[in-house]
Amino acid sequence: MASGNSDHPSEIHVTQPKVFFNVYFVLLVLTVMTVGAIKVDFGSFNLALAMLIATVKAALVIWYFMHQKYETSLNRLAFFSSFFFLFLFFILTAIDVFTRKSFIQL
Amino acid sequence: MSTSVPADTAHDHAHHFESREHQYSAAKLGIWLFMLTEIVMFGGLFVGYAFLRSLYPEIFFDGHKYLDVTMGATNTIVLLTSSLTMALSISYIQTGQNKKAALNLWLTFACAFVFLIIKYFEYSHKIHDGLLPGHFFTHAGDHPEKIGMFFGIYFMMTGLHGVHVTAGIVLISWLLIKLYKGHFNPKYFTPVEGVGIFWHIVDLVWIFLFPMFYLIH
Repeated sequence: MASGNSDHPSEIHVTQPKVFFNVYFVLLVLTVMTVGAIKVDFGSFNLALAMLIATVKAALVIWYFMHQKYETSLNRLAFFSSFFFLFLFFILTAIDVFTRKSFIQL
Repeated sequence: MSTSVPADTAHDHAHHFESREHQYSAAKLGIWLFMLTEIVMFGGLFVGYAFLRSLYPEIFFDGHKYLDVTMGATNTIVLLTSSLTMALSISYIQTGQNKKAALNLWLTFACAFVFLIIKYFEYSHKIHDGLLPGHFFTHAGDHPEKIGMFFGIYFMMTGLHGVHVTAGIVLISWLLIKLYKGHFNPKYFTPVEGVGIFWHIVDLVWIFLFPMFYLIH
């Protein structure tokens, strides 16, 4: 439609099914890796590794399945800002909890 | 909102928008802002998990033994598959292949159901064995003090997630009804995208829940 402008693009990107199948296959492989990784003892690194693989999977889902790769900058900002605020929440709480001299009682 | 492909650009959008593209942009921003709220809501629980796990690692190490990795992994595959079929259905509507779109929406619906069925078996088994939150915990055995906390966190997080899966099932059903009524076409598919993005968030949350609860080393 000719009435589109830069704020509201009239050409909408359609993802080819092939791309979805490829991403899906990678996600399955990463899932197998996550499960397989618990058989190896990396010590305290195990949790970090599991979270790292999960983050890669999440990034693939967000970028391709949720189509963020082709989203407008505003929509990207709107969505990714949530992770920034979550990060702030975690860091500020951590600064409090882990600099306490006494163990918190629950 | 259009129910068919209108011939003129004056009637392909609601009157308070300038154009179809403007209406679509506004809808997409709204959808992404909603996802922001979902991320911070689940995120709050994730942050809680992080602190409780670092302060009470023994209850996580004990509690996770009662979770079935096979069922958790199966549910992970089920949700990943449902994400694939959901994304495919959007692409098929965008290219006018409504039959394939409907098939994939049905597959997404079926996967969501399978997920809940597996969760039902998991939950009922725990309830039967007394593996319950807080002071409801009655499972006999050598458990650390406050073991009920693990199951409180487990049921809260997977339960909230399960509520979202159920909401997704309702939304996908709504999409199927609209699809069969002919509401969607390559020029109008916003609700399908909206539900699709929501569904991927549901999948995303589980991608983290699975290693956090089932794969504790």
